[in-house]
Amino acid sequence: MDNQPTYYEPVQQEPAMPVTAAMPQVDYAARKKKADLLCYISLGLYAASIVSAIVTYVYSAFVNYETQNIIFKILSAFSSVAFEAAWVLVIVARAKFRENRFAKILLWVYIAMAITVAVILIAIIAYCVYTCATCHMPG
Amino acid sequence: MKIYIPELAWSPYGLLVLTSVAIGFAVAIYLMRKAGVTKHTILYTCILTSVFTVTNSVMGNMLISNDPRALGFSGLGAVVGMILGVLVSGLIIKDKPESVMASFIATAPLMYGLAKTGCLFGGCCHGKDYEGPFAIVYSGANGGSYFPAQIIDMVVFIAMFVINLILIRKIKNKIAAIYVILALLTVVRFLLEYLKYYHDGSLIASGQVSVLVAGAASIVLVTVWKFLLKVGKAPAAAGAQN
Repeated sequence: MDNQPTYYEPVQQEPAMPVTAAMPQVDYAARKKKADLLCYISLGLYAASIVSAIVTYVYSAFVNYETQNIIFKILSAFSSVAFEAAWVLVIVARAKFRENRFAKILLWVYIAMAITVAVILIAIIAYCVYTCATCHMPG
Repeated sequence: MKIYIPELAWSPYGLLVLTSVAIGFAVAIYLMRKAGVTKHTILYTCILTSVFTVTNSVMGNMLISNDPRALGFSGLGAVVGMILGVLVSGLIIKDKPESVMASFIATAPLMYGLAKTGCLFGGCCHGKDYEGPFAIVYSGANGGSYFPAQIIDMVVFIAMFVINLILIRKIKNKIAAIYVILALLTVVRFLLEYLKYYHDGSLIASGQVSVLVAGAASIVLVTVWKFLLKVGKAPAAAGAQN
């Protein structure tokens, strides 16, 4: 048997490492800049998609759309792609830069706008259904 | 026995389709929660998938009708949009993407099957002329007696949903389960086309070619997505590499 001591000698505690030396430095300013850029591009694409959709509808009122089919297809496709890209970018900003307030607010603004448009559309459809159901054509 | 569909003052098609999609999303959320997907992932995936589904559905309807003022929904556009939405959100969030994808792919036939109630009451996608038992009879200007193709679609796709639930539970490799489900859905949809009024009686009609193209495109999309995300290894193989 070895003559091992049966007691534990007090262990000298090493001084704690400074947190800044062990933790990777997070450049919050750079992260904020990236997230804000994504949000601004998203906002621009969202606005462009709405403008493009309005132009498509206004244009269709003045021009025979069947003869100008390709223009309408391009405008409609651009509206859809820009709208989807706007949502994708805001979700990227929200998922990758969770601390960014602009991304959080922008996402909830988009959601509120989508809900508002859905409610307005449902109200219009309900009004049309009610009007058709109660309409009595004379004769 | 015949099934009589009354002529309605307004078409419930849109309402029934949207309700079916909402039910499908609710089931997909339940499946994702059971698979341990975080709430944030579920929220962002549902937002992106909803946006892509609705936008592509409306866009698809505009392109099919060739009218920019035609506001409606296209089923094919919705399916493509849903798959794209899940693929894109998987690439962004990367939190159990194969479980998220499996939940939505498994739920897709439920949405489609329930949405067929809209077709049943709307009178679209009906079967060939038929006078036998369970014939669907429509009154009005476009009336007639038809084979109950929409009801068969509904029953088959809801049964497919149940089979899909079993498949994603039994097959440990979720990507393999997704491939099996996509292949099964393509075959089933292909066969059901024979019952539709617009099928011209040929061996492979143009509608069936579209189904095969859509099925192949879905499999290619999932394959590309799988390689981009580097997912799809069986759990044992993945564990051995770690």
